[in-house]
Amino acid sequence: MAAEALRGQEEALALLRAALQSGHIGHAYLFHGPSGVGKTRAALYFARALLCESGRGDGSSCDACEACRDVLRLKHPDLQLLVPLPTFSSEGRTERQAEEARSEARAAILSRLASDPYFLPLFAKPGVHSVEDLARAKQFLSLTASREGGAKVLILKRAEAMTTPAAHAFLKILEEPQPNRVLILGTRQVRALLPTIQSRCLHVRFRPLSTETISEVLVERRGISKPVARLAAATADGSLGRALQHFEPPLDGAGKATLDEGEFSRLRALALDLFVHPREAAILGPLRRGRLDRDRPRFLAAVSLALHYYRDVLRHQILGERAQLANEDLRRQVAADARAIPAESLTQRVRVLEEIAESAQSNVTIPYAVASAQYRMAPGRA
Amino acid sequence: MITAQEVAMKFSIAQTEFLNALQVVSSAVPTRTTLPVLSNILLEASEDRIEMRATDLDLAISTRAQASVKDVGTLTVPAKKLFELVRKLPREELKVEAKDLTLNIGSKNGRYKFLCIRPEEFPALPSVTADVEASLDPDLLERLIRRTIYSVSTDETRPALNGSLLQIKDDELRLVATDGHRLSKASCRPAGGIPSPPKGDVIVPLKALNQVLRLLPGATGPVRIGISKNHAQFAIGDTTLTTKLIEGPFPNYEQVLPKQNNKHLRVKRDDFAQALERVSVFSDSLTRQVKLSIRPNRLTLIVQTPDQGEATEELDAQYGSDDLDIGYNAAYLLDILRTVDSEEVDIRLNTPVTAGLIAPTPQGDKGSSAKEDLLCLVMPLRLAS
Repeated sequence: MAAEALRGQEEALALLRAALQSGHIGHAYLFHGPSGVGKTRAALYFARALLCESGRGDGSSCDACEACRDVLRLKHPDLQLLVPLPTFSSEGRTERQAEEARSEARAAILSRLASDPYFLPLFAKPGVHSVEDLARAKQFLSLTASREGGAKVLILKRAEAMTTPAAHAFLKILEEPQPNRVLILGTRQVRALLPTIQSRCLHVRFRPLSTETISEVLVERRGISKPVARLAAATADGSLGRALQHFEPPLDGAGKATLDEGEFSRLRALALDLFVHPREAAILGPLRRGRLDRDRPRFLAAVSLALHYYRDVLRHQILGERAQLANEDLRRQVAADARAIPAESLTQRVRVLEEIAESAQSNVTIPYAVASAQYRMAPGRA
Repeated sequence: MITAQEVAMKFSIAQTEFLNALQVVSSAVPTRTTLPVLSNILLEASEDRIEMRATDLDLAISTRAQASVKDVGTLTVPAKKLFELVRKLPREELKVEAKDLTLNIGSKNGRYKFLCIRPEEFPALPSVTADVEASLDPDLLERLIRRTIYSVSTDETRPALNGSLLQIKDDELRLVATDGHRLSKASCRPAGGIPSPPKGDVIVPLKALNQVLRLLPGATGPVRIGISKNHAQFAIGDTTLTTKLIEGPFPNYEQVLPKQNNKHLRVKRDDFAQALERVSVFSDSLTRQVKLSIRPNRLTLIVQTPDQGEATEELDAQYGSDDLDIGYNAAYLLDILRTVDSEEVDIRLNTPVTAGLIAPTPQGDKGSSAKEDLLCLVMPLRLAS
């Protein structure tokens, strides 16, 4: 399964295999790269090899013994996979109810992950690793393994989601390496981690996936039609996670928003409405209709779709009809815009969009960001 | 792979017998878990008894109950619901039958049906091949645990202190616990000696110690303790508790035990404890500080807390060295005094800023065949000059 599920990550795999074959296993690894490119799958592959009981000697896993199967089902007692979860603290819950909701969400995610290696847990509210999570992890590591001399593996998904106290607690674990304990951190942003954590891990780089790989997964695993899969893949910047985000509702979603192909097409139409052909004084209406005014990840996805549209326009200006487009279905419109929008104006617009994407990551109000963008993109201001 | 039809089991059992066994295993069921099957109890019917088991992956408890078994089989049943139902059922014979993935319980008037999880999902009990085995009288084991458990640290940043060191050394079985402020060491020489080669130095987690204490009253004979590199196992009557261990190393406690404490104070234990209880009413709620003012043959306990009040109490004591004023956390002293059973206690001190040692006074033979020993270390509080 390893090779098939980790297409495009040969370099990382080779590094891990070499470690397994030589038996020189580091005590902490940092897997970094875009979301949904196989970091967790690689971590589980590595864990399987470390916990395999068949004793094959060459460091590979047999994938048949009880231990290997338990790792795949995420129920091996010497493996812990930590997923960042929202605190669930609002909505009138008591602390205990919040902790329970969190624990239920964790169980649900792990069982989904066990049955679907491509599953990416998405939340509308950002998930965190709390200091309590790390305390439990520390306890897990401090107890003996179930097999004599056996390894214990801790996988921390999205390590950058550790709260500051949690990161300090984790540093304590990192600073005192115990024999036979392997920590694997996954992250999209190495720089978002404490430098003291970065420097104590072996870095393993995961590359963005090709558009083909992403669209194949979307078609095969999610049953999405080829043209839409292709568009979603082309606008995902090599991250399967980003592409999947369009088709999977957040786990803590309040409404039963169904995300499907139609929804994705609507989001793109909206992005074009707001950032490519804006109609005057129409900001709040489209934002609300598309549920963009409060949902930051969704808003960012819309900005990214608009950016990809401009990329297509630029390509068309340079290469003409030969240009490969992400928005293949809108070729005529792209061609029209390529003629209508001057090149300087195009670069100005792209710059503006990149800026608002950045400011939307922090606390800027979304309607304000859109209004500002439209004003600065208006003809004659370039 | 067993198909659903093959999951069958049939037995009848007395409600009290069932409830007792459930009570024993239920406390190992984790309150929250990412693995749904851990919320269940494994039931296994064989010949004339039912085996039950629960685990949170770190600790497992299994026990047996008498039953008349018609069909042998095994299944996992939701622990909380099963326990709640059996507790509420009247004292009568219950008919239990598993069919596919449900468990049906029939009483005189009622039918109850549980949705179950396949037994293969339940984690296997780790096989423990003990390197060290010892057999202890349950009362003795209880005393050993009670005399050290209060010193176990709950500070998660130092995992090695979150349990008691179980050590077999110099023909003694020892339990040692410390939280950095105090240390307790209780030891004994079991009557039959310790047959296995003495090489067991393991740290038993606090959770497991608490569970053992809870199970000890059910012991019918000596408790068998087995230690391997990864697990400790306590066999108490029909019940077996298996726990993972804490990876050490445990601090070298023998190094911190002071050897130059030559100021000997001896007081009556009850008088000392009761006086401490009274004066500490006025102590600071955080530090619980009480000052021991020690003069020849006299001990004065003094508490002065601004805004709270003051208390002093004088006690007769045996003391012949230089005058000494030393501060202690009253709660720490009381923890020790509560677990000492001699009439008097020996306190050995040196300076107001170095560790003091407390031990029961040597006693004549109390009829116990195992020679027991207890030594407690407490760090003083610095007194404002």
